[in-house]
Amino acid sequence: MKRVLTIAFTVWLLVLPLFLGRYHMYVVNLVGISIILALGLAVLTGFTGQISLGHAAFFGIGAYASALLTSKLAIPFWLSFPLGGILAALISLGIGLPALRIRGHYLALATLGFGQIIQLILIHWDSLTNGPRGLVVARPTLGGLKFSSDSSYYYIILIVSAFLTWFSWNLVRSRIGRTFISIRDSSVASASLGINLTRYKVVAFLLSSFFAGVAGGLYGPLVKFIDPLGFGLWQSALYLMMIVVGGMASIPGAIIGAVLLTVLPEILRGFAEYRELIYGIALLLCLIFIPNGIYGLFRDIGRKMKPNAIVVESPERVPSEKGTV
Amino acid sequence: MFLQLIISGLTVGFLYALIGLGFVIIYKATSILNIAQGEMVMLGAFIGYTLNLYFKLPFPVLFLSVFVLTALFGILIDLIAFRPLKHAPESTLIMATLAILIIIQSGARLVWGDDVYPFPPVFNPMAKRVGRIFITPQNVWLMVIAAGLMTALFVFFQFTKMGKAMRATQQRPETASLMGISVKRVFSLSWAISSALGGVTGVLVAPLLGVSPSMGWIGIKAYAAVILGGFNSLPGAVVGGLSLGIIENLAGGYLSSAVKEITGFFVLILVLVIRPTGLLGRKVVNKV
Repeated sequence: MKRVLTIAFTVWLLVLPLFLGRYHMYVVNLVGISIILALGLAVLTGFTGQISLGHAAFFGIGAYASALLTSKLAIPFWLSFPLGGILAALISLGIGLPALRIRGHYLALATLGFGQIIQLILIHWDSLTNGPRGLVVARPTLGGLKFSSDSSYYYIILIVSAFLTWFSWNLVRSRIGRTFISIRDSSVASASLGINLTRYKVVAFLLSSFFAGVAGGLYGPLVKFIDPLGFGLWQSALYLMMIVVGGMASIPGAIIGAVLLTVLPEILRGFAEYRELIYGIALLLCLIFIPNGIYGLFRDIGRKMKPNAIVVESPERVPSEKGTV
Repeated sequence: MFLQLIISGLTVGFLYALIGLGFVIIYKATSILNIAQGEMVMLGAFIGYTLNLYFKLPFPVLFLSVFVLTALFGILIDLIAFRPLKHAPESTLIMATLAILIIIQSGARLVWGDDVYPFPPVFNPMAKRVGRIFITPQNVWLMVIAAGLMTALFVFFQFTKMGKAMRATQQRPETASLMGISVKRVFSLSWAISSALGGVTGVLVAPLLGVSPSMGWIGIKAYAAVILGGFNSLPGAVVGGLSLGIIENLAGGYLSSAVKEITGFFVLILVLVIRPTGLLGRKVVNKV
């Protein structure tokens, strides 16, 4: 049964461009990019318990690096977008190593400042980034194939996001993933078991920055134009909202959140003016009333219906008593 | 030039110190890392602007009104957001303050638009020559008022019953509640004091920067100052704020204004590498 569903779902994903128009394909592509970002943040925040308030900066680094490598050094897109991710990951080391060495949420403050700095640099480093006027990004080609339509570019995004979903799915179930969860739930207990806290927290941050950089590299050619305003605090907050709304410590949750928060604004165009306010209130309400997100909510309902089922996975967070850790 | 840069850096430094104090008060009492402190500054500035526009209140009355109104707003935040999140993990609390930041900022944008409103100077902004440096009475008054607020805060924490109760709660919430201190009330009061501090900082900073929904960015620099001074130390927030104000101004004067903007961040990273507890912070020992 499960196998049939998986195959049906895969086929559905593959033939999707046949049924959707240009605009809808564009939105679907945006969803794919959001999923990559949300997966990275889920690993960092949901599973490891660290917060980045500057992920839009890594997204921006990936987008600019990939676009500039292609336009200035003629490096093909196939190399430049992973390189954008690698550059974002390398830069994340510069913040992650000093900030994650220490107990406490220094990463939140450091990334908050970092996000602002990157935006300033993108605006003021005119000779490289073309400043506030932004950059025009071309769609990639492979041999004779040109991915100029949204439905052909879709397959690139589909392959990358499917691969990264598979990767994070396996990562959080591996020894490393369990280590992340143990650090989140009790750093003291993890340290006493011989876990090198700094190393694992830095790995989680590195991975999530890499994901954001890759997403940025894919984003540029999709929208064909990037400018510094697209990579600010609001965007960083938006990615965090995705995993909060969907469900912080789960891969399906991250995907649900990414889909919802990318599709909803397209439907609610009439409320564009109130969007930020609505999102802010929704974030607060989700944190208070559904701390495990929409996915967690459905999972809990499912468990209540089958009270005797054995629960295998337990990635969700146990509320910690203040002052005990 | 050197002395001049230090004097004008001190003015900004006092503002960072006030914002930083609000941040540290919340952190020490409730262990919430409040990234929305800068928005309190913005809110205070807008309340001050509106009161000034419609009622033409004299400055001391205006100052007090903003203090009271933002304090009430702080209590509201505690009741709505943080009482229900009492047992939530720290990362959830940070995201809740992020939600509050977005709500206040986008709310202000809906009400007042994206413009920068000029705030009439309360004190004389014309520079006067003292020896070899220029000082504006406005900046002197700003520093005097800031120093007055800090002294009042020190007296409150050191000598009043409520202040002592707050310090007790900061040290050990469980023991404090066993001694008959209402921890809930202490939390609300912390939010009130910290928001009020932010609010009146907004009134002080408004004549210098103008009033706009995006002026909360000043908070982000103040957080760098807090890390420089020491996360869990009130005197640290003051020392960190003043030092960052001066360092930033020196960098701006001798290097360039673009460098000035990013100095705070490099100071932050440098502190984390060399002395993560900050100048005056104490090391927190992990206990099970």
